[in-house]
Amino acid sequence: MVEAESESAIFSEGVAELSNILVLAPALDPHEDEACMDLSTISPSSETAMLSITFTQSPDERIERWRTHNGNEQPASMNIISVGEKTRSTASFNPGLESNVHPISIAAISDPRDLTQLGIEITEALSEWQDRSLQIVVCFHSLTTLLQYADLQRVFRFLHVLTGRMENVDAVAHYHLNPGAHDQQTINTLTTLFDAVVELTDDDQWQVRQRGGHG
Amino acid sequence: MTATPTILVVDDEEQLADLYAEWLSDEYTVKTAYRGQEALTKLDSDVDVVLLDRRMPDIAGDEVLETIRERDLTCRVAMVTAVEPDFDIIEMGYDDYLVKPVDTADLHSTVEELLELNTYDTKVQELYSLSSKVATLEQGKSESELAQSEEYQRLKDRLDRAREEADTMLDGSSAQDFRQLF
Repeated sequence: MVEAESESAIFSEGVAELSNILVLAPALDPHEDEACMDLSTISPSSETAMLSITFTQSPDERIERWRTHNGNEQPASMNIISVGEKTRSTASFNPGLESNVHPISIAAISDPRDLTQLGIEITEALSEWQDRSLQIVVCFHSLTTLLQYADLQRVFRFLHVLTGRMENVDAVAHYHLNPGAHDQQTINTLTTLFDAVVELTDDDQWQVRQRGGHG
Repeated sequence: MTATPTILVVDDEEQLADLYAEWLSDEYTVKTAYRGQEALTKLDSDVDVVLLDRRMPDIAGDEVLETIRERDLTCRVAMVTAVEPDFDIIEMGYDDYLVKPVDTADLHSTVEELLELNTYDTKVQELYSLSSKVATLEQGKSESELAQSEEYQRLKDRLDRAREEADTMLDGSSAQDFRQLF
């Protein structure tokens, strides 16, 4: 595995030891972006493999966001899984990057209720990196959207398998959830599945709770 | 699963059905059915795994499978087919398949895997319901109140155990989990 120092502003130390992090912040808020980028850039770009699962935005938009924060520095490998019908088709995808950069592979899943297909695509993306010593980072955007297509129990089951998968490949995966869109019961129930929860407080600070931290 | 699991073997070739049943009878309670219709009457909540021949003269295996899913039975189904299943049946909702000729080792390992899936289901279900209970208790209580609540601590301990048990049941690498669990 990657030996390089991992860095994160939100987690003062040990972020690479975490596999699954729940990020609670309003959707598409600048702070949400900030956490997303922080958790996606824990290792140097050249040693990073990034998997982005997006329900809400097109692949171009996700790439654009990466570039806004990191300039032209691209991860060594990048896979995007785009879920659901979007106004811009992935076929016409054009990231506008120079030709000498690493290719970005994109998979599309048209039916957001198809958790089986989503699970299979994620497994395939991860297995591509199996023999390369890259730090895998994963962004799942977002659980709030997933919960529109599957009930809590199904999502819970899905996430149990998925989080186990992330742990298995030493990935650092974060999952976005908009706390304003769900009741506390839903949020607390899902919390069980994660190693850490990062939450934006009312005064725009990041509060971190790690499993075993209390109780 | 503490009781001996029950397997239902369905095949219109009676000798074959009896042979499978004999192979499995050392470890499991086995029922047999030689027709699709008979399979449907023998299916109840006691059945954990169904080995289902795809081609039968009265009701085809595909239809039996459909009925099983409609009835919302929790049993796992392995289709027994003469040829590798093609895309036409991939979406049909079976959990595994066996291609004829089937030997005793195939049969045992398939049944074992499917029973493990059932156990995993039960564990995740338990994890979910404990998480949900913990979530309810956490609402509107401060951390110090929770720390003092014995009920909460007990639930948290059970939750940790359930999580460990459920986690160890995943092999964590193949896409097969996603195929079979959703």
